[in-house]
Amino acid sequence: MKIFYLCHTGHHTSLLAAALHTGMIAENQKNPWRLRGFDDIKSGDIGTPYYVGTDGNDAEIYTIGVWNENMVMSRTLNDLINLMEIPRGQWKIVDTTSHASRWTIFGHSLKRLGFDSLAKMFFKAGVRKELKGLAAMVKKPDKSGLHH
Amino acid sequence: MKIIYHCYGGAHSSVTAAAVHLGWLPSDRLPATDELNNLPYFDRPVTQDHGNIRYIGTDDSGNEIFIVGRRNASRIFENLAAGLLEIYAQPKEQFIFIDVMPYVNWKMVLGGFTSRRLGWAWFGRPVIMAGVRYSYWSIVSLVQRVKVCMASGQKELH
Repeated sequence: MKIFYLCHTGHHTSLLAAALHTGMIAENQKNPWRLRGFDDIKSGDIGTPYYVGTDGNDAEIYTIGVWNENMVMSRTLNDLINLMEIPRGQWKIVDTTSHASRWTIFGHSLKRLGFDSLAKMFFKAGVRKELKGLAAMVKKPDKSGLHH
Repeated sequence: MKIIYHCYGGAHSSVTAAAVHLGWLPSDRLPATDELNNLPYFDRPVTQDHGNIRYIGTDDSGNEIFIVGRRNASRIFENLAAGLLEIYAQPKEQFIFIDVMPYVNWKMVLGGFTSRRLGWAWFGRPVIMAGVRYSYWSIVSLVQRVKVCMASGQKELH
């Protein structure tokens, strides 16, 4: 089983969700932005699946950046895996873009303009806003943006 | 082998390329309006169809031909596809992704927008037809290069 968490870059909101899923961080984690891979992505690499780890059920957890095309890329991801003739039920797609806070989204804009340090401040604020909601989502994956 | 032609909306340039590949459109003359209109998916997909990979047909060599509209996410799409092939240990030579966007001209963009987004097919479709005919030989050339690459076993299109 492989689980793909989607967000704008694959290294912010979805990474938090994936880390919560694998137990790498807790809901009340201090400084979750110190997570391996957090904000560690170049714009040209967005779209490349990022391996986060394995959960308690031996499912492989990945994040994927889809920028603003979460609906389009969800369909494409689904269809591509189908084309590879992977048996149904062997993958899940979880779209976390709706959980991205305005702080995180503004941080993305700043980063695109080259203001990396300022963007990082906004990402840290965004992480604090998102953590609780993502933890709730991860606990109930079948009810929140799950496709397969 | 699976060949996936991709463009913005999966409605015009990729459909044309796939049809040329399958021999549904001529390679020695410009297509007539009816020939383009009768193609499956030509100027039909809407926004909700973007992202869906659609099977068009199988060519003479047994290769399956698909199209997809991936909007402006060309790089994301290609990174995603390459990453998935690696994750699932799929042989890279079994999947070929061809970006048809470089052969799209402003008429196709204008026609596509007015027809698909605004719903003005009466205006957009003739503009698209003109645009497709303008780029037609480039698209035919692209398809021929794809076929030559496949036949010679090259992994990358030059």
